[in-house]
Amino acid sequence: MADTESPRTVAPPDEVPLENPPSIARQLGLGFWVSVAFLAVVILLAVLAPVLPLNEPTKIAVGDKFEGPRPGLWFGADGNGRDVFSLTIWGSRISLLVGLIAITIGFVVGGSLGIVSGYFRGMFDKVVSFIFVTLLSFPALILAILITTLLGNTVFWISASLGLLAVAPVGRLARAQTLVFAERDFIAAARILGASDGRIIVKELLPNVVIPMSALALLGMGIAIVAEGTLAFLGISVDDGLSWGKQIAAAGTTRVLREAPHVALFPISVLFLTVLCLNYAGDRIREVFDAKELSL
Amino acid sequence: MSARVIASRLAQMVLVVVAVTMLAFGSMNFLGDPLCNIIGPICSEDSGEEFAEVRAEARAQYHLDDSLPVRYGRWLGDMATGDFGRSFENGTKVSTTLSNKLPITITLMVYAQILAVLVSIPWAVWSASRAYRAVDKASTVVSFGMLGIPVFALSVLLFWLFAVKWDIFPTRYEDATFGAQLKSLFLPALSLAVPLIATYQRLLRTDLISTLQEDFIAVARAKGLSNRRVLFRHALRPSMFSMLTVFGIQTGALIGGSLIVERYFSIPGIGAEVVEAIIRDDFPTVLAVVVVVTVIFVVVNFIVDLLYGFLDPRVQLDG
Amino acid sequence: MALLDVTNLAVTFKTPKGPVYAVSDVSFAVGKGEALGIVGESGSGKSVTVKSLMGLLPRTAKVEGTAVYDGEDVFNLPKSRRKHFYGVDVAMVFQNPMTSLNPVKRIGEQLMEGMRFHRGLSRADAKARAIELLDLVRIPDPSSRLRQYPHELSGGMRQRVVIAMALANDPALLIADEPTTALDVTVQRDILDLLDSLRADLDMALILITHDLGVVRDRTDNIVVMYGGRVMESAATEDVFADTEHPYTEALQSAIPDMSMPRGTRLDPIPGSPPDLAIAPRSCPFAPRCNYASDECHTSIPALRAVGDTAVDAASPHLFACFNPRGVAANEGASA
Repeated sequence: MADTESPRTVAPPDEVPLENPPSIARQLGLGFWVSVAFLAVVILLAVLAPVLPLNEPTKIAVGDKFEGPRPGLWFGADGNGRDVFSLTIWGSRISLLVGLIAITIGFVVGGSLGIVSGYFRGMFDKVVSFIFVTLLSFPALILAILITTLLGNTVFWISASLGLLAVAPVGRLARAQTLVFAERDFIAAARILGASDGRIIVKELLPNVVIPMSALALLGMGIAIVAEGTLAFLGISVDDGLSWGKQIAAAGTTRVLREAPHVALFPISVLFLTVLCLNYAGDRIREVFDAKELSL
Repeated sequence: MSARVIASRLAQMVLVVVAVTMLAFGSMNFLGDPLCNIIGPICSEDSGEEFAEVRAEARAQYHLDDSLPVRYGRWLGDMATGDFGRSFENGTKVSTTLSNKLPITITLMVYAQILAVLVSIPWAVWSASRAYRAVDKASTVVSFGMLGIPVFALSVLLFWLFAVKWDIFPTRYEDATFGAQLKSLFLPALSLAVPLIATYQRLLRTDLISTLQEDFIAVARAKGLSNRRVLFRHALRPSMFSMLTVFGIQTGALIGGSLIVERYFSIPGIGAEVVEAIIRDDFPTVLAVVVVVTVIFVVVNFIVDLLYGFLDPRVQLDG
Repeated sequence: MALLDVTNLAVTFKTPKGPVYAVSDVSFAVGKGEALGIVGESGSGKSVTVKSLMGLLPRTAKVEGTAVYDGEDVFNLPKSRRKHFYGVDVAMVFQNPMTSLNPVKRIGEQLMEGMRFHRGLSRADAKARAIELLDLVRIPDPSSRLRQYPHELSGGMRQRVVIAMALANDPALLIADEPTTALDVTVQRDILDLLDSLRADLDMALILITHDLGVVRDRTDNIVVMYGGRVMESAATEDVFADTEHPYTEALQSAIPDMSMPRGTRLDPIPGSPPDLAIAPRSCPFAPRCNYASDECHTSIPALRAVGDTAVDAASPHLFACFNPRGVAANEGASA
């Protein structure tokens, strides 16, 4: 039913093969780079927090009780007169760290399981796929809470339990991607040339599977940050130290919200923008790479 | 859908539930010592002879000297008869706690799904019928933003606006009447629903846009049907597959979310209960909740599979 | 007076790359109970022409010219009239029956929908009418079909259902857009004959769109041949075949399979491809593919003119747009 008269077939400009395809950086668009810039600022502030001229986050009576924002005290003060701006920056350190470790664990474990099972198929694949299904059926947040309470609420175990939650979704995508590429000619060619399975996986499959998955890494990082915040909000995250979740939980009581909503609204806004930027950047990468995938 | 396919789906469901119970039971026993969870720090052999009797009694009462598979088998068997054991904490029957608290959580989850569907479907239809125009682009930005806000942050935000600032909804949970309960549950349900709304809206909008290109839509328009009728009666149903799939998967997110909102809004449901139970190492309660919740998740997804056949008579489910 | 009178119809699509001139300066008329064939290749603008009449074009389309149906301006119907115009006065049958029916709705539901919506029939009345319609389009065992889904029917049966759906409210004009292109050769003739007999029995006007000149030969009163969004030739059917003026019409004729041809005879496809409609036309659109093109054809657009003895005020004047006509006009052209 190639009805070329239908106006639908009038090709929109992005379907027209361009003579000079714009660079990847160009294709990702302004929004992507704004997001990356925001994330860079957040990460930089988190890393540099100890050397920045900030008020001690735990120091009380820096400002008046529930004082509103003013120059020098940009996000105002909380019920103890602590500097909310400083609290927010110090709080980001654990949130970002946990997000980073968790997603690394998820990718290393899930990615290798997915690639290996997708490459070798057979019984191993069946078992791994079943493990993925089981993990996905297990109520995620309950699992995270369980592991954290049983093993101790240190940064590592919290990251590990959140990483475990990432294993199944990451693994399934890695497996699906591997299945797609394992069928391609260049894998067969490598095999005919006598490359070992290990070599094929590392040299041929990995690069092709990892790039499209970088989008998932950004999205996953956002999810991990939210999950850590959730644990902290429920009162079961890292014991000592600050985090966004804890900060928002402390500011979320009726009393504080009534007296000084800014104590909650500032960390919520920063958390929201961080997650939004991670989501948007991940989304853009996925769209650009999906488009490339189609043109292969 | 043939009986054989249904049977194999059911078998797979049972397998998943069994695997989850093993995972939960195993992690409870491998990652901690149940005896300590029952009687506290005196569980250690070094803590003195005077507690030896307490230890022995607890061991006997909870059959802790049996091997792990035997205990697992007994636990599973008990559960099959509706006996979820007694709470370590206060000795109340876990089944009582479940029957008291599960209905509240299920009400909350159904409430959230209803809100999500009621808002997302008209929104998706509205934006798909204006695809790529300025208003549609703006609404896409809004739904993207809704996806980015964590449930706990949203709870605080909504609570601040609607309960503290404008005083529209109560700050405490009330369930004297069903009406009062629905009013108290509105903000928690909305907190859970917002990310769902965005998820559904995005999926449904995309699928609707492609359905609206179909010939049978042109045929329906050529029949002179009203635009509203074409959208809701012809385009909607064939466009709902992705949304339905995600509907099942999102049940998992809802369960997680119920922990947060129940605790924050002080709702005496199973979500708040399980957080408490985990913090106080009350294994029977935790295990029971994990099992119940997994069963709910698996059953919802099974129903979703069945619904495909209703949405599209051509669907023949296979393996 | 004609039932439908289309004058100087033009359709332009706004695209990011600039305008696309899909239809330019098209005029034709259909009388009550008459059949009109619109013939042309893909991209000739024939589908866009009827879609503009049906109000089915996207918002990016700009429609100019007039279409008068029974004294009413089709492009400017009052809202209340518009609500019950399509599907009642004018109905349409589409090209591909495999995709024309909603896959998730039962046949009966789809048949009854139009009558219930436009005429407020009760369920029982609508059902009786649906059975009557299926019978009319010669579907065996109509009452049991109502509960079936489209995928349970063959392509030919589905197209009969689509036709029945179009007939639901007794339209005075039926537009059929390549109704047999997607069907097996064996059922194509059945469907065409069905349309023909329905037109006669129901005293309904028919616009039959096709790329196959052979299809309209015995089934229409008049023919419009389109190419590149323009009318190349238009005349009473017998005149088109008796005195073909336009080289494009001639080329289409040699593409008609003919049973009297010896086995193995090659049909002549027309070499080349249709013009790019994104460029504002400044010459005869067919010139690049035309065997008879002269310099003139590449520099200016030939206007429609009448073959001498068919006066412009005749019921169906024989019109053509060519500098180098092939029929009787070739001889009089020099003297004109």
